[in-house]
Amino acid sequence: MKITRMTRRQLAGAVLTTAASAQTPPSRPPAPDGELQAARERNRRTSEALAAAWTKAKAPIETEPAFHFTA
Amino acid sequence: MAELSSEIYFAGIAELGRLLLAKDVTAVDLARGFGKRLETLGPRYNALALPLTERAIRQAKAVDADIDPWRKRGHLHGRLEGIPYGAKDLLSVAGQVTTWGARPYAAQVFDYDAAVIHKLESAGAPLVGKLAMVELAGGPGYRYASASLTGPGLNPWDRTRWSGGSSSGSAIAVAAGLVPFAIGSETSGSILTPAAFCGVTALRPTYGLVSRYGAMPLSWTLDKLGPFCRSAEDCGLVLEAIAGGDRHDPGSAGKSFYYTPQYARKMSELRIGFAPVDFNEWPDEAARPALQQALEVMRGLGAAMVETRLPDFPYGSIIDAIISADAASVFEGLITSGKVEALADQKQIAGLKAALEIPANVYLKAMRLRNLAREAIFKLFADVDVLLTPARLGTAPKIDEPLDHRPDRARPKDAGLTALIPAGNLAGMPALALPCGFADNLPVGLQLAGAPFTENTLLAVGKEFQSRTDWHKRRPPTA
Repeated sequence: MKITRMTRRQLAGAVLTTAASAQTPPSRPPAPDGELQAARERNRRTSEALAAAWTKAKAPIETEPAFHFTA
Repeated sequence: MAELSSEIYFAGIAELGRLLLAKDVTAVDLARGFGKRLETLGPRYNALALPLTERAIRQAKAVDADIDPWRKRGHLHGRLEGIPYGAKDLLSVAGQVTTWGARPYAAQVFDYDAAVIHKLESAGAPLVGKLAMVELAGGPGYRYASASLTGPGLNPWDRTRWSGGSSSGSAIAVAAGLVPFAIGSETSGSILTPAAFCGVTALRPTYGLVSRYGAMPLSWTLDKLGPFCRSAEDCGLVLEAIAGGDRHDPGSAGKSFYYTPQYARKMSELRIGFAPVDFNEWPDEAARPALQQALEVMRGLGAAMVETRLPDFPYGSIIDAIISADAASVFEGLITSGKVEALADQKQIAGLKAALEIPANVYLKAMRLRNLAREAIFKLFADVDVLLTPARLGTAPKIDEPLDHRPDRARPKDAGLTALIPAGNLAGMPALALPCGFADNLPVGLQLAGAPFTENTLLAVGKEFQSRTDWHKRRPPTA
């Protein structure tokens, strides 16, 4: 059996690297706070897309929302 | 009790009706057989929310007592008499738990039946179980297939793949032969997506045609209920039973529906709108051959094929804003109480919280743009009767794959009709999902959509397509 000798510093570095990679798997979702920020960012982009479409549509001021209520 | 053969579990409504009429089986046989099968195999796919076999057998006994006098007349009282079914767990059944697929509502019990449950009971169809769903029907969006109280919906064609959602259990149960038909719901894609991924036929009716009384609200001006079945014909039979005006549903159109294939227009009189880019460039490479072959079958029906495309609107943004704002209002108590944290999906939790902050002017802008988009879409129907696209651009994703991950490949410049799911939902249009082949041993589907209240035309095209193909008759290997 081949034994690889490491200094204490090398060993500490190896352990830290392993721990760090285990905590940050690739393409994981953001943490809860990050999720909320990401959701707000999606809403901001949605708002911008709607504003751009509204400007482009040059809709008349009397354009009503698509509500449909029956009495 | 007669032992049911495997053929019966995959028979259509008309065939089951013939067996009942001939006394080859009884309604109790069907209720017990399908109920036990759903209880046994449903959990294998995370498809079952609540078994109701004993309740179904009680219903079936009453049906059997009623059938005999009708046998002498040579037909049953109604086409769904004695045909078991399952219902998405967002529909209330009096005295039974209705979870909406979400942990915070795991013990919720209503004291009344949803309108569709009541209508199907009146039609003599025994309810054998409540079917699993994505929590809160997907709310403002979720990242993982596991966003459900019952776990991820597993695809009967390959259990390492997702069933699609949010009507996961409804699609799985029909695909795996656990029920002859099921009821699901769609706000934007929740019927069409699981139907396509699981290889079953399903109908999203016109907004307002089917009462939503007793169904979980997600978005008041978008929610619709519809059937998952073995064929377009069966969808017509179920829709006839569940459609109709209802004063309890403010969105009700006050209309009935009669399935009338005998009066269907000839295919040669129809114009089918499609965009070549939807079949040649937008789909995943693996799905293109099946979709292109299906397009050729459609060409062979004799209808005029007309190239078209959707008017240019940000359909995804419009529908996201409306669903998010509506969902935040519906679930405001859940969000502000902190119980929202008990949901399974972090993206869903964050999306609901952030949706509370959407300004009124953004919501109203979305609703005003929706009106413009709807008017522009309806102009297409001056030139075509039906719009045809792939139901989804690829096959079911892997069960642990993030659903909001988009493949890194160039997007075609021409949008074609690719936004037909959000566009069709915004415009309240009916749509029919049809299995049309396989890619990598997974189902691929088509979508037919039409102007409001043109279900009979969609069903006629679907029936003609299914008379020339057998994709809707294929069974998953495990079933």
